[in-house]
Amino acid sequence: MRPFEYVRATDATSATAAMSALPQAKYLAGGSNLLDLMKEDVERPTRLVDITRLPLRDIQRTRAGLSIGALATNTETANHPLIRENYPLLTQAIVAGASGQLRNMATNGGNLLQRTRCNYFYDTSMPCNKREVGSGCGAREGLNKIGAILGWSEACVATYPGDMATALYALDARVRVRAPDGRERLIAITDFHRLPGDTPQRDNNLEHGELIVAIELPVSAGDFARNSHYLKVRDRASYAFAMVSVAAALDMDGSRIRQARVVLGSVAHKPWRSAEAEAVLVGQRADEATFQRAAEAALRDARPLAHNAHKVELGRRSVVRALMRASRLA
Amino acid sequence: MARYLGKETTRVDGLAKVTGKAKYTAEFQIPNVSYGFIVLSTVAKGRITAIDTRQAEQASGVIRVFTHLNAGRLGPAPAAGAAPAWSWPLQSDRVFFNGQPIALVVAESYEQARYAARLVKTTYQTESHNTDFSTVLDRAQPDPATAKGTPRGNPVAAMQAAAVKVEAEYRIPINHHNPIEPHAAIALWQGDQLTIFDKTQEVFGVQKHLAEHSRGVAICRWCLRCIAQAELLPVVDGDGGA
Repeated sequence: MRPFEYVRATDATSATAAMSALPQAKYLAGGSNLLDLMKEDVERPTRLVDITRLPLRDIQRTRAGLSIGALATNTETANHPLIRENYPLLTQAIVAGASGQLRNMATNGGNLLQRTRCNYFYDTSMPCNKREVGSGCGAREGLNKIGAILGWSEACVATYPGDMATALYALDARVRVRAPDGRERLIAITDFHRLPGDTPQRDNNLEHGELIVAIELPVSAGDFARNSHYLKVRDRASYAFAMVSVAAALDMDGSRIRQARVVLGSVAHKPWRSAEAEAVLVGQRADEATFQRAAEAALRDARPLAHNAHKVELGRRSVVRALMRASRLA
Repeated sequence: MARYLGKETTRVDGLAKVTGKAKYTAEFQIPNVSYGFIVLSTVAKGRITAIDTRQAEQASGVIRVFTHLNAGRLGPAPAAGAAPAWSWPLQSDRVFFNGQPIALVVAESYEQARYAARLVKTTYQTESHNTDFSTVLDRAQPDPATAKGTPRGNPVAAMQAAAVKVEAEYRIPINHHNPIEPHAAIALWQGDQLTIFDKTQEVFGVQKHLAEHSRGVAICRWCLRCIAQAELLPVVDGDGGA
């Protein structure tokens, strides 16, 4: 951990000002990812702007749907009656992650911003283009069991490991963000995280200094409340990241699928929403054969690395199982 | 023995350990203690070509930084032409394994030592390494200490004549120790008496090891005490249960 300055913000204006003044500043909320990375010497902020006193914890109905405060904890969010009732997929995804203690500390905003757990990113003696531009990608030809099978580039094969965001991609969420000049914008969640391309050092499309204030869910995402399922497949039954995860959500009319959302987690640099799988499902009867075709479509372009070929078949079967559970056929 | 097998038995020191009352090595209160933080190699095999400690030395609270360049002789001097042993730290520029101690930063506080350790810059000339045990099995040699014994009876003939032969290969997966107690040691000099507090099952072994081999430090056994928190029950897991 390097020495840093600590500043406690009292409002959004002073928070964004304190952040944007220094390119090396970072916001501190729950700290459950950032502090670990600072102890590992991966993150080296010169200033921490503590935003925990900002009034951004509310979860409330809006005309457009639901607004979830960026500083609400994962636990508060997962347990909230409005979420459990209208967006149970989100509750399921959140409680699949981390541990109770971590969820009590972790905030929604921070959860969106969590960084990859790639071992080469964490090891400062290893080449990592995300951590140090141009140094190379240690995972590309290294031990890449937890690496990506979709959307990776020669510069970076890291995955985004978060569960909550994977569900948010299925629920058409938008991220409300405030700039230092006070103006707010809404970013579609599917545009929030980036693919690595040749800029792996950038995880997401936030500008420096921008503050996440809320995550918004549309009313229409409530169509999926009855038939959704978050499936997390991992080496251990708890307190572990996904090998592969699937957020599956169906809007059903009897046994016919009106709308579908299929998002794969831990297979790419961002949650992987599969328009291909969704296209297979829409208008079809919900049955295993249809789900198999959707799974094939979802993983058709998968390009495994040396140590993660198993993720392709695992991904296919996980898509099928998640859809079976979402449709209540299994 | 059968009275205990398969039965839950409370460890005499169990309550002390889980409530934090058990005193671990680092918790002995010694006045004016300074803190050492070990810098580890980040390559598996090779040589240190340069180790730059200037920034570390200038960091707040740092008293001294030891490397193979200034640590002094520990352990017996290697025989002429022989490779330096890996078991004594900071005795040569050779790196024998990833995570090998290559420097010790000593500072007034633990945090200062730890921070300064990050400032030590090392360059290596690496050599190719092999950590795949199965590829070098054909070079395995019997341990001379145990190979000396003469067999009882005639194992070769017995095997040949046996009515039933069972041949199997058994592999043991990697075992990771998960000690409750972090590794630590405290060295307390009082005049020419040295007391070592150590996390060890073998206090007399530590005493002997340091006294006999620390020629550069000139310690005699009677001036060296080794103290470790005693185990109150027989060790069941083979690693001191610490």
